[in-house]
Amino acid sequence: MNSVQLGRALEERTCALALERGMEVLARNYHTREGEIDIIARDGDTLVFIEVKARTGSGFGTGAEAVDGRKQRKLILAALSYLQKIDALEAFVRFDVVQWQYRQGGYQPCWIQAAFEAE
Amino acid sequence: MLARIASFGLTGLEGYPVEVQVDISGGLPAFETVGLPDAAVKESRERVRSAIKNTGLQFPTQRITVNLAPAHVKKEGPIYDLPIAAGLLAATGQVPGDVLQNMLLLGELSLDGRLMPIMGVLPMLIAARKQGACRVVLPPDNAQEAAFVSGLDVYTPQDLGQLAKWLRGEIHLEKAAQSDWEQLRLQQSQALSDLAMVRGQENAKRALEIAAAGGHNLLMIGPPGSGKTLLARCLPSILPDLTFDEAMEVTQIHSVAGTLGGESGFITTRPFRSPHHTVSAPALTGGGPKARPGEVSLAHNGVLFLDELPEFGRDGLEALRQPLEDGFVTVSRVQMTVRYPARFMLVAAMNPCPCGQFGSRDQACRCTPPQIRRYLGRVSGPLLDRIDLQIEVEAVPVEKLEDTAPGESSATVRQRVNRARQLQLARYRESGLYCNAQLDSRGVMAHCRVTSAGQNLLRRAFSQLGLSARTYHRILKVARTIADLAGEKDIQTEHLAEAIQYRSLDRKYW
Repeated sequence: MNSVQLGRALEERTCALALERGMEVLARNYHTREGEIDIIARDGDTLVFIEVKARTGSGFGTGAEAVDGRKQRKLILAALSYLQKIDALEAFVRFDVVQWQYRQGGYQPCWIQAAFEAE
Repeated sequence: MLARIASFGLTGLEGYPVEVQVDISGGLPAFETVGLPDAAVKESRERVRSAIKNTGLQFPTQRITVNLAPAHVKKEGPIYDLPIAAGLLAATGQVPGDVLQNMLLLGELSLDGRLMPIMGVLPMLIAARKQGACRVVLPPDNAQEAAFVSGLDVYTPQDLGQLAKWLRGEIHLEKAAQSDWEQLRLQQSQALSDLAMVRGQENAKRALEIAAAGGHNLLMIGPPGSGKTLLARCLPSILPDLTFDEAMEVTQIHSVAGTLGGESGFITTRPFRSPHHTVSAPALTGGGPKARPGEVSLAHNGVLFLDELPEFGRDGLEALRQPLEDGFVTVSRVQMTVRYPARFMLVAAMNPCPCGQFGSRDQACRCTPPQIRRYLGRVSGPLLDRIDLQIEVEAVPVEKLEDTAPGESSATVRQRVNRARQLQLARYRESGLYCNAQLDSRGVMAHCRVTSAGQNLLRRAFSQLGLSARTYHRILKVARTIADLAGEKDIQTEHLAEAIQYRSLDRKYW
């Protein structure tokens, strides 16, 4: 399995997890000029933009650490363009990061709610 | 949801109300602080975030806008942590907003949610009380400062969680107790150097007593090792009791400067400041970008002791002239102009020349006349003119040192000083002055009347010693204190003679 396939598989499992948590998945792999959002979901009255990150070892830091300032800015811009498209700039919004860490023969999820904010 | 919390800010000693407005809205999540916050206020969001999370409350993930109104004044310090946190809790409905109305909140938060003490509480509360505030939430360590502002209900929760529970009516918080001034004052009398330890030097002790009784400035000149510094260190032990009104003034200044320290957080003894002679002029008079109070203000209603007077920088010494005359300093900086009270008693000690033996009875001076002139010249005429009592402190002869009979103790002297100060307080009750040294020229006219014999003596001294008009007034004020010490209603000729005698020294050396 190459990394693209792995990514797809883990996004799939994240969606399942989101449903378990009572969210409704609105869109997946939403492309904009600024970047891509892995999953867009609705949690009650809040729109949740979810970034999925996987790591097999800890050699390059954890997956969550990979969502740095540059990546955050990309996601924020992408989220803005989505909000503009659906005309919901005033909606309640949250950015979550879901990190999958390879441990003991399988990938374990770690859901970080409100991982970052727009400055 | 919008929440408004009342808080306070401070420019110098002037408090002004600040309204902390917290708005939670949709849109991209962010935490924005506006209203001219400084770095400490900006950092407040990280403390607030952790404090709310760590006390088990919910930190909203929506767009948060905090405004500190009025928006044109610079806000400084971490005092808005607590109002911002309370505003967030109210805006998210975690505490009822109506309870927070008419309540004033001040305090820094630690990451675990505890309330940390802040600076400047007393002047803020005094101003707040004047503007009608009656309920205040403060960090526990600031409670003592608030305890003397009458008419305020002060609540001091330990942490944010306790505050939230109290606001929701789940627990009961006791009002912080009002303090009793007399009781607190007695608690804090600490052991000081005692005058009984000083052998000989009867003249100097007498001058010290007069200075303490009337709040007069004092200069001691003498060879090294003659006990000038020791005498000055004994001064706090004979200073008159601090009155409540004076203590309020002193505590306000120290509250702003952050030098309160101690457990009580309220100053009950007269300050004794002895800055080193390398002190800079702004440190002496007050300054810095935020116009903090300097040593002259920290010594307000107390003593500013300058050891080795000629070693102080000229800038610093000359800067003392205005506060010595007016009793306040005006510190002007780009951001603000602040007026601090500075009615202190200047006590200075110096050697008469670089080697220290000039004018001594038993030792020869090794300095050349120009050296001596230069050394003495560092203390300018205008500054000397403002020092009411100038005395020589001679080296103590060996026989005196071996004398084991104890001298008069500080407690005895202090009784006399207190009695003399009581007379002054009673006399000046109407005018808001505390001691003779604070009289202005009109006050001198009114309270320092002399007999005709005294008038003659003064006239002669005036022409013979070449005194200035200022010196004339200062001599009368010292004479008034000497008369108060003697318990006399009018100034007698002998009181005047003693006062004049303390002004003859500058003719000898300068």
